[in-house]
Amino acid sequence: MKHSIRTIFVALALLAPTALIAQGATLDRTKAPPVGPAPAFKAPSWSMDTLSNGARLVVVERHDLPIVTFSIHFNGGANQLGTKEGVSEFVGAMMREGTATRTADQLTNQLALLGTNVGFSVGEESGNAGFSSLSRTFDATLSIMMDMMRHSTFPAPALERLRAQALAAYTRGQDVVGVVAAEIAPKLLYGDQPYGKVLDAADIRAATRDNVADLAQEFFEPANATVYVVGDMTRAAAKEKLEKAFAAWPSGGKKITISYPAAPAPSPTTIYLVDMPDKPQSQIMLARTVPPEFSPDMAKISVMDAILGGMFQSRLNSNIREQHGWSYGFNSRTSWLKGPGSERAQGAVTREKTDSSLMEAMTQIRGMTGAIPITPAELTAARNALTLSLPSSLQSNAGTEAIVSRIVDNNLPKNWWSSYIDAVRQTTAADVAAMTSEYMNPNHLTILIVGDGAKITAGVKATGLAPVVELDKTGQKLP
Amino acid sequence: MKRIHPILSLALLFGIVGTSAAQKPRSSLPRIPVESYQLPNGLTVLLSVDHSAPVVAVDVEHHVGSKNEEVGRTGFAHLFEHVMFTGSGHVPYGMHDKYTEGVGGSNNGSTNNDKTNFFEQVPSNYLETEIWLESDRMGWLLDALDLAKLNAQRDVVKNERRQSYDNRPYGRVGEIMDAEMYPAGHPYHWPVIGSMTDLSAASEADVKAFYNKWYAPNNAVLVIAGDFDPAQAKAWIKQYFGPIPRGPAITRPVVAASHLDAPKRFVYEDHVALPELFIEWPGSGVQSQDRAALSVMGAIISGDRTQWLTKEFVYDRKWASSISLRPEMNENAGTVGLTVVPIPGVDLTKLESAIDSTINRFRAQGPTAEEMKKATASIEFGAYNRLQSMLGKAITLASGWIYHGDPSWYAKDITETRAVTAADVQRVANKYLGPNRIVLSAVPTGKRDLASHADQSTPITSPFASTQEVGK
Repeated sequence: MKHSIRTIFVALALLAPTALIAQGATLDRTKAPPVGPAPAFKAPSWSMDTLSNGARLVVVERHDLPIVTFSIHFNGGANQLGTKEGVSEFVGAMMREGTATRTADQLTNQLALLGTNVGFSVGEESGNAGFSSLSRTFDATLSIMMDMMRHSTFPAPALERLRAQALAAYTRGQDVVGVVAAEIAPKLLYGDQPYGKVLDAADIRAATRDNVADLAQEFFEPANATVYVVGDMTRAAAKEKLEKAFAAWPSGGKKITISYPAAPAPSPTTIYLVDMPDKPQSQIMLARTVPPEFSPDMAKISVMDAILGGMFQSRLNSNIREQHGWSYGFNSRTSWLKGPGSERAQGAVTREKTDSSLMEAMTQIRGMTGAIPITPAELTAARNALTLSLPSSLQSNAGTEAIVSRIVDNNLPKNWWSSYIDAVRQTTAADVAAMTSEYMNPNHLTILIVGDGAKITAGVKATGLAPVVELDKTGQKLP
Repeated sequence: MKRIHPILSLALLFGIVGTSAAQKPRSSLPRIPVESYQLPNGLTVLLSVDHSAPVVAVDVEHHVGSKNEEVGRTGFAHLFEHVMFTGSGHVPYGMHDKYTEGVGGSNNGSTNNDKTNFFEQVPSNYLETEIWLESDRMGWLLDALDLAKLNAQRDVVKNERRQSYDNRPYGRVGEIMDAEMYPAGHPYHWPVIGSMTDLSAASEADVKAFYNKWYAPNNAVLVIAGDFDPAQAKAWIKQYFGPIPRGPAITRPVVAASHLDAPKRFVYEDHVALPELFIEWPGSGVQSQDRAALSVMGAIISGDRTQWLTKEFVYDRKWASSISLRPEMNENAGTVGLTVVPIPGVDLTKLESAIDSTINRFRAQGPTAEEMKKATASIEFGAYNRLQSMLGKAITLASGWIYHGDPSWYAKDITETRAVTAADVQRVANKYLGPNRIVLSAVPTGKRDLASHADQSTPITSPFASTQEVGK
């Protein structure tokens, strides 16, 4: 089959313009080709209306494809409502269990026949409800979604089924070094603050059907809602359709304001060690808290993160993975939250190289504070990675929604993206060193290592980097 | 995979599920515009213009995967995927990241049994740069390849194996199943990541010979999708890729269909807290006549709460957290795999026997008209949805060319899938879900008695698990 197609291909190749081909004679392959100016990033324009029930409506029109993304963002979450840990995990699944007029099977089949699905979630400090559909199936999908949001029955037996599944999934996660590290880290970073709470088996066992129903009822209210319609729909059409659909969703709910305590004061660097016998790799995490999202240092911290471990070519990955071959990847990530977030550098490393990898990570972090100066090339790559990547978000409805909602959800000025881009581009090598000293200071790190205790503990202690505290898999100190 | 990166999930957007007897006229579906041609050196070029965002995706796919390796020298195709990012004749180490990630783009690669790809997505002003980078590693990789580079990436791959297979609960089940499904010497017998013993033993000469045999332009396709001027792109492609010499003619291995003469039953001990049950039947490859019907069968027999296995075991009996039955189709052969995650305490023997009853009921009754309709309902939305990503389009076109010699094969796939009837689905269920299969119970270490039919189950371990060597 390939052969018959090939004859056509060769004929088409002759059509290539010959004038440009002549350059081939002087091609110097050792030099990167010249590039034109970078495409400018322009956040898409959006319209804003307030609906009769008080929810805000944001419409971004894109008519090149007959599809629409619909999403309601809710400000605030389980942390603000004082919800018991574990309850919010069940809301999304319980809202697929049937409504006053549709059985769970009917819901499932009707959505499947529309070729789409509807999702609900309640997070720590925000929540979401939405779907993507063809423009012509939008009305039908929205009508089912509203039924689920307003009239779910939350049957108690369904919760028992979901609880058994959640417990099994929790138990399975306890076999994975990365999962265990992710569960312990918040407790070490935040102590008994809201972000320090982590779901455990007891929480999963304690949640009741009424807890879930009450949370859903209290949470999915217009007072904290911003509705995004992105895609093949005009502002007028969206407004008309939503006013109609929201007739059964009257204004209600308490306006939520979000506040968190400041992060716990930095303490001297400590290594916490968790034993998981026979694991061929150890998870190593080095972490600290950072200020809330949109704080003045946000752009500078982002550049620091990119150079430390955010990019593939970052210092941690290029040394621990590319240079030494001790890991499949050692990276860092800033987790931006409405309260104090965190900077976490981590990777799974060969068991026998746990101490070496830890030393190398510390060398790189210390180097960022000044000993190994930030190069112009590193700075350029980091600035570009953070800013020139933005236009690619605009390929999809979902990416476009993310760009616009960043501004609207957080009540930022309309030109926020351009000021953020400017702030990233103005970040200097001295800024990066200062950010590292401030937020990833080698003397104030929380270091967590999860791995084969019998084989790694002596080596980790011998590094002499910091005191070693042994924890069990729930994060409790061992005697 | 060069690295763990969310971008690979884009490829999942193209798993279009569905079908139905095509009774009435349907809405027309979008086509991905594509211009195809071939350079004199045999490189196939596919161009798809879309100016909706200032982004361009470049995907180079080589029709070589782990099946083209030799016994005793496995893991080379995947190792090359890694080495391809470490520089080439005129391009020093680090340039691929500098000119993708470092200019606001991204890059990655993937290897499977049948093909290898390298792809990047960048702001559109960097198209010529990507063509330069891709042409250099296609034409001049070996000029810059030495033992030090090979060894560094060997160590990374060993850690990839530790992370993705050895350190992951049940992570070795897939390779145990393949080794039992396909006899020793069969090109699908070994895992894509290869044997670590083979990787350690490979000489520089072995690795270079493999490259010369398989990574020539006449065994590759270059796809550019997104915001670019096709006339300019063609000129650059001719300029940069044109001088790469054609390689030797490609002879593809003869790959036997998957086949079992008798049922097999194993128990596998792993460092896990809870047991799981895996069943695998011989299936078909993507070129099989049964491909569309098998896909539809997979989309109907498990999935949402109304579907056969899911309804019975997750919702009615509440014996499982999840259960799925899916065809796994490689280019030349395939399998049908069932994975069930039991609720703790459920007896695996009882579970297996009840699963068989449900499958036998499906074989006897076949799907209903509504089930057939549901299976095709998401096709139209899925077809439009995937047009949103330049990289997604590029990979769709390349896969069609690699596996079917037709970049627009995805459209044929939709047509064939919609033409599948309930009788077709019932026929393939009876043909493939028979008694000759592999049943594997994965159990916590020391608890072989938890296996399904423990007394008849042979203990098994992975023949490939050997990562004891330490990074340098």
